[in-house]
Amino acid sequence: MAGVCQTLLDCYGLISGHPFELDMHTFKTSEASTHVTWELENLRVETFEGEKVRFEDLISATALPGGHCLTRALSDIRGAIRCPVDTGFYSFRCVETLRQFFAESRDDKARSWAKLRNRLQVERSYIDLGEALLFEDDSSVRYIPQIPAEVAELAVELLDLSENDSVYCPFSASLQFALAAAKRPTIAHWNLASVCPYWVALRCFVIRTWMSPSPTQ
Amino acid sequence: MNPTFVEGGQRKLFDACLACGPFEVKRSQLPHHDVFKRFSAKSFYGEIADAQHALAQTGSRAIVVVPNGVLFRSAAAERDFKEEVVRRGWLNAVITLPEGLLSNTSLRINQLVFDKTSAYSDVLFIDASKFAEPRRERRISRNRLTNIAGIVDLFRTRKHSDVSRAVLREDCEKQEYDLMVERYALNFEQKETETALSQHATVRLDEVAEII
Repeated sequence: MAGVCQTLLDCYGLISGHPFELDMHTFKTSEASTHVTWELENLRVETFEGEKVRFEDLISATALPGGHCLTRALSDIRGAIRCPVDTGFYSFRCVETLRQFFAESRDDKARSWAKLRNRLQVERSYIDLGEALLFEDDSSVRYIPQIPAEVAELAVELLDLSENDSVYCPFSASLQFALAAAKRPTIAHWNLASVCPYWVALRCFVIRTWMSPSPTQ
Repeated sequence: MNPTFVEGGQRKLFDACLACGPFEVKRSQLPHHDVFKRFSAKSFYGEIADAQHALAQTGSRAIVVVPNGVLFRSAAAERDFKEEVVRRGWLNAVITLPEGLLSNTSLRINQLVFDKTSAYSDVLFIDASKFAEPRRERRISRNRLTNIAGIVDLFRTRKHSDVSRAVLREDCEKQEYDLMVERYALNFEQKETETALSQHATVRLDEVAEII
């Protein structure tokens, strides 16, 4: 049950740009009237323009042959978003998962890479960027804080936001701020792309792999 | 450091900004002539550049989360930044939060509250370092911030209390723009120490010991 729900959240996370992580405490069944606490419907965080994908189509794709690769890729994208210092690691793994999707057999490495590049319409050098990120030693960044929700709540209270105020939340560590601001009638802009752009590319790769028609079709 | 939100070649201005950049990142490649005129003080430390970027993209209010180092460091560029925001009356408040709020580190964080539309003659310091309770979350122990309503009330009323004090800009200048809250607001440890001392007779050290 938790795995299915996490995949649903990963699908929504890919669309909205949030690394949702499921921590399930209760769930509703037809026999018992316990309930699950969700807050997703409150989110109004503006994210990226560009390649659009429908939530329903993503969910359907996870059930198709090869859907297990999509599930793994979504999970890695979640990790890449959530933890910018590990974006390289998750990106590397995600691209490898994509390659396996295109592989017809275990010994099909070279051909599967070629098929992947052809389908995604990208050069090899761009694919290699994920690997380069993995081994990049950015020792200048000591700590990327994850702001607790109550600290974000305090900040939003102090700002005394009024209706339709536009709120800018730059830098990856400001996600919690954007989520807190989005609970108000405001328009929150979360600028992650400037911090770890590679996962945005991964997002495009996943959409092109599973959502776009093949160039040969 | 290229701004994402640009309109007609100018920085897009938002009504408010909430920012928390990575801590202790070295920004060795700040543009010398930023066309968006964001970095008046060119600090080696990224927190200052991040704060300047946040301020440049807002028309009025901003809150920037910074570690303690930003408050007490006195290198030229950092002092210049703090002097600028205090002199212009943009720095509304400095709120020191409890340690242990962030997972995996005990770094103490502070919220700098800016308002570019009001020229404040004073800066409000709030010591919220004891407003915490332990919390265990997914095998990670950390503190949770409490008494949010109390902090908001202190901020809105700007009243003097054991943990808050509005300090004139000139007093910040006398402290060389060191914005550590302990310099201005009496913190809990000091208060506890003073309370304990007041309950006992004390003598000067040189009355009971020979100082050599």
